[in-house]
Amino acid sequence: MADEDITLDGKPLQSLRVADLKAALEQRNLSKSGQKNTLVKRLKGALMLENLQKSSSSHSGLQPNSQMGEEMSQNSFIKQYLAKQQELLRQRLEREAQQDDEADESPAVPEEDDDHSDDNDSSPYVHDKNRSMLSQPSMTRVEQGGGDSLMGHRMMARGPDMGPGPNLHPQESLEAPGARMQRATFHQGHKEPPAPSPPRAVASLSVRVLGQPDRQGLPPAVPRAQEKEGTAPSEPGSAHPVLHLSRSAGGSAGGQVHEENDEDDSGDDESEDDDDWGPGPGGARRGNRAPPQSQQMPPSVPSTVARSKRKLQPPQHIPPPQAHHTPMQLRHPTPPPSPPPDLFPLPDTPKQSPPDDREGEAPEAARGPRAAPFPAPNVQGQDSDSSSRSSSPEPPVKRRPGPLSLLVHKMESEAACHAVEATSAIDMSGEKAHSSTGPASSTESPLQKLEKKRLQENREMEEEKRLKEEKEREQHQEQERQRRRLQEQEREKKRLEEEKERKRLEEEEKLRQKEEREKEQKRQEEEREKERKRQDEEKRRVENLQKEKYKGEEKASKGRVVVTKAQDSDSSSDSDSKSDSSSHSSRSSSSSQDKARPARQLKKSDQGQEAEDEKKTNLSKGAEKRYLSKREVSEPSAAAVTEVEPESESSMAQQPPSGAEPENSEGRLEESTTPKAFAARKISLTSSKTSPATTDGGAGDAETATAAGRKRRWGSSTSVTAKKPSISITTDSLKSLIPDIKVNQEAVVELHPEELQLSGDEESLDATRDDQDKGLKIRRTVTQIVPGDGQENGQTNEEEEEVEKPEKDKQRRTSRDKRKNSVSEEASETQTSVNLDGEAKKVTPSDSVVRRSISQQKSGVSVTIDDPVRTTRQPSPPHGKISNIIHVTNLVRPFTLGQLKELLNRTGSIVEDGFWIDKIKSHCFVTYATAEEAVATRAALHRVKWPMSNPKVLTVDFCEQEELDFHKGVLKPENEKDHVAQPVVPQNRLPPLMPERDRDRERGRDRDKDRERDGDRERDRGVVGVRDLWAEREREMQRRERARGEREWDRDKVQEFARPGEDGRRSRSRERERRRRERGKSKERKTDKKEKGDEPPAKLLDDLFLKTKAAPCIYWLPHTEEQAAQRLLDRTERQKERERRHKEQQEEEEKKREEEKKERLKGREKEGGSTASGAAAGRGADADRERDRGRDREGDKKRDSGHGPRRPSASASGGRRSRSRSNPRDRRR
Amino acid sequence: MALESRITQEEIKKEPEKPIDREKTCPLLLRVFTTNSGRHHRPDEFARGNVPSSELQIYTWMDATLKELTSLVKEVYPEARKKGTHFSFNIVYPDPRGKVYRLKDIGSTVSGRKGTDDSMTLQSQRFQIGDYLDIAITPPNRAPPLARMRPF
Repeated sequence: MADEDITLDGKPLQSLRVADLKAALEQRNLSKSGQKNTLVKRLKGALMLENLQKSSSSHSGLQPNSQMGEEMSQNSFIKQYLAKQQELLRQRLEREAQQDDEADESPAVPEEDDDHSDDNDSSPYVHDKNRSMLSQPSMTRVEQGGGDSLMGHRMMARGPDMGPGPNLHPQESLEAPGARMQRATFHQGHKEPPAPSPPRAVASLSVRVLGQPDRQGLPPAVPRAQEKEGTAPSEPGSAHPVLHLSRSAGGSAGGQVHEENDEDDSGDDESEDDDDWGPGPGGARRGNRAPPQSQQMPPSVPSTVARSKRKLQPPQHIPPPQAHHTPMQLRHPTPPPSPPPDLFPLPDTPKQSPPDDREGEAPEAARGPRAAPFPAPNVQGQDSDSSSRSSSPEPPVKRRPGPLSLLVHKMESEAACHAVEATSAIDMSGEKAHSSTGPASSTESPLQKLEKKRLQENREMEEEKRLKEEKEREQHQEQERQRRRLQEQEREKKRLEEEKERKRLEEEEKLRQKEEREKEQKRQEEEREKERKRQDEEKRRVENLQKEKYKGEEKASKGRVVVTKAQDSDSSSDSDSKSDSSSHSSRSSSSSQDKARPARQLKKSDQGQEAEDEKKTNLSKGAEKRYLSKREVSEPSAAAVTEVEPESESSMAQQPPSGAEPENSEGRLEESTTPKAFAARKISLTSSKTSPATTDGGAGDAETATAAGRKRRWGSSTSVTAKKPSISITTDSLKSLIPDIKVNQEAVVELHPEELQLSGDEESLDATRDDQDKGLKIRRTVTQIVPGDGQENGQTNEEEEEVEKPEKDKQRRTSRDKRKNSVSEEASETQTSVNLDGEAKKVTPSDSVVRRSISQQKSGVSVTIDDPVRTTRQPSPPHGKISNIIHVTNLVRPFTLGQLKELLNRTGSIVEDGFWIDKIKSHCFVTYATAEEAVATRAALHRVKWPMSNPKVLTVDFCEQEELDFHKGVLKPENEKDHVAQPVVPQNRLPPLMPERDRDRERGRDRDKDRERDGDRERDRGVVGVRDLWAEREREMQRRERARGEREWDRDKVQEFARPGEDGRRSRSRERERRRRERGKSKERKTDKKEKGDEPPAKLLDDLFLKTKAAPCIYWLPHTEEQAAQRLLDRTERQKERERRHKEQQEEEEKKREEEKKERLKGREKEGGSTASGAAAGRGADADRERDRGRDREGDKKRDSGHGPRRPSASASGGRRSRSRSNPRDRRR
Repeated sequence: MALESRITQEEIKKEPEKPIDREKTCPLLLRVFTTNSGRHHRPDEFARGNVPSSELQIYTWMDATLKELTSLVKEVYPEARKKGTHFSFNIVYPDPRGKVYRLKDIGSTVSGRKGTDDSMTLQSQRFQIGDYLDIAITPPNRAPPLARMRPF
């Protein structure tokens, strides 16, 4: 739009030549670099700014600033900034163009739009205010040093106004130390504009949460939002940017002042705006991040699209709760877009400052001077502000926006201003950003709910498209909204209010309960769930699937009843808001259907409440938060006479919470019982889960609420559907057995209810299951097993089932008892029959089998199996020699071991140790107690199709123990030896008559393996060395393969078979425990893997070896007896050896000593002998002395010796001795 | 089986190439010290009971090959999984004649490539339980430092 309008010397920019563009740019001290497009953009921006200046110059003394800007424009920062601004302008223009269409609804909007969007048009009013506001705050902030951030925000906010903005910014940026930071902010700001315009909701949220500072923070979004919504007056918008800047900068004091000023100026409108923009502070807290959210919001803003609002709403909702929960969120924070995490100055807050907050703050902190103020005061103030605002907006909306609310808002804003400095705003921004980005929704604080309500209401309004209402809203956003809501609510449905009241009561009850005892609440919830389950069952009985809606209502009613009982009825604003929100959500969800079905709405609302309840239960922390906030709020609210007051109260309450937040967090922590860090994490997780819904939008919230309800329904519905398959199975059996039909139906009925319960149990995971669990688990398996062949039949049966359900319980009990008996009896019958005739029985066995299955169903036996279908009437004679072991081949999945066992158990009792099935469940070996049973089984199952989906027919033949052993992998050395002997042993199993390929193949394979092994053995025995090694390796491999052969998940089953009795009885909880244990083990295994290396996954070092407790542990194994004995022997031998050696050594030494002594003695004797000749002795002494001196001197000695006649001989002898000291002695010896 | 049960470390010592039944033989704790600078630790870094900080503890057996050890190290150090990363193995053993530790080069492997030392086992290099292993990891882009600097 504007682009077209901008001309240079009457020519559209695009038509200009590059040279002209450059010249124009040069005139404006702008860079001439870049392509034509960039040049055009730059020039456009400059022109727009000029236009703005022209228009605005008359109004305010911005010119100095603008001049400054021009001077500064040479700065690279400024250039970048200008470019960004241009981009922003473009985007805004586009938006505005879109918005204008939409904005026409509200009168206020067009004005604002004009001002902001059309710079050329430049509405004096807006510009003046903006400029004045901007200039003042900017100056103050600059002084403070926080101006940079402010600048960024301003830029953001001003985008449309471009003119003054750039000038100011350059100056500030230069002055401000954190130029880089500003840049970052700018970028963000720029990003914002490209994104869809910020939605009103966001802005409102931010304002509420943060309070006045929020406005400032919001600024970027605000102007746009205002434009779009048209509700916000131009003045506040202008003020906001300034404030925002200050806050972003670190909450300079100037910001507060500005806010106050703004409020004063705006008056009633502002106050209204404050309400709407309450979120603004949140935006400020978010700082850089806030803008993106706002961007998203704007597009939706246009009244036309409810969805967009929904989407936008979530962010709004999120921020306030986050503010409350900040500690939690901070820790968890989803990483915000913001930059590097700096120190978080929030030591006071119990929250462990999350990275997000840090990040958000970091930029601000980096800016410098501002960072210092942030810390403690900021946190509390922010929290309080956010809480107060967030809480305040909601209640007023619904109830009464009157003058009181305005006053309250003002008071709050002022208080917030004083209490909360810009620093706090910064902190908040960080938090908000986190929340907005992150999962804050999980702990949906009342604020969120309130926001949701608002959003919903807004949606409704839009839907109605009442221009008047819209105008009013825009002008008096929240107040009007509240009024409208009230009006609408009253008009449309007083029911909603009633529901709300109920909800409130419920919520209050919940709150109290939680406060009093969270545990109690949990219990209640569990009870509720139980009740629901029961109700579901009842419903199923009485109602058809089509009446599911009624079920939901019933559930809701039950929930209500529970709640009402507990009601203490402190009408807390939060509860109200919640109720409102829930109702709204329900409405929104069924926006089109609002009027259609009151009952539905009730359901939805109830469901929403339920969902909320669930959330609470799930997220105890979130619930606690709510409670805390509610408590605080509730007290004041109770005291408050007017509805408006609740807002103020809530705000007040929230403020205390900010102080109390630490406490809350602590409480949460305590509840969680996990360390703080963990708790925080958990919270974040939960929040993340919930957040997605909230983030999705207001609609998302409503949907989530409904979704929770739906889940319930789904569970029930799924359970219903699940019934069908089981029924179908039964029907099949029925079809096959005409006479038994009635019985079958009963059985079916029993199965279904249980299944339903199961489904419910799964969802709720309550203690209630325990009763049902015993039977249930098995049934479950049954359902899985059964193919959904006859759904139609199942449906028809359902009604019957429902009617019969009451009887189920009795039947169940009796059936269990009966079951065993019936099975055993039938089995015995079949066995006997089999014994009587070999082939004649063929037909009968099948029948008996079928009957059995039916009877089992009647009895409530857990396992249902496809009835084997006989393809051929006459089974071929057995190939192997009759034994008590049978080999069943051609098994085809799907079937479970349990089913197979059930099938096999029909005709006899399986010896658990003698059962083996290969890992793909294609064939199995079964050992029966007696050969007769094996024969009966073969008669029953040979040439039978089982399970139903099996394209092949089972073949059953007898086999020998060795084969089984071999397959069991038991092949111990002894067994292997046996195998070697096998060939000699007559093989009964070999099929003399009709070779069954599969079996032969199997056997052939086995035999080959055996041969290999035998060969290995022989090699091992015969040859030692390399071959041996290879054999060892091979064996090792085989062993490992065997270990792998058993899949881990089948191992348990196999073990289960080992203890036949326990299978059915095992309770689910036990199984779960075991699973958990296994999971833990698996983790351990993973960690161990590193250490183990190539260890086959199946076996762990810990399984194979003992280990020391000291870390790092050392693995060890006790020696076998033999080894121990051997070791002992060795040791003793070694000791003996050692002793012997020792003795020898000693002896030698003694000898040496003796010899030495002798030598000495000899030497003395010699000396003594030579004493007669003193000369000789003297010579000897001389010689010794010389020896001591060392060999080096020998030469000298020789020389010396040359002097005296005697000496030569003596020296010669001495030298000789010294040279070969030891040798001469040895010789002597 | 019976044969396997007989296999013990004593046997291993006697017959270094005899395969080890890893399910019967207790694993030894191998303390591995790694560097990613391409150079090995200095012997004095092991002196007086000190050890470098970059320790991996691996339970393995005497028949563990360098390749196997490499794979274990790669499990722990993702950056070492890059193709071409060079692992140089040194056994760190106390000098019997003094209190000093000595490093003995036993070979090297390169991830993603086959090498002659891949199948080299600890026991083939006279590794004794209690010795350390020092592995110098060299990122792929850098040439293996000292790879064959020493002529012997």
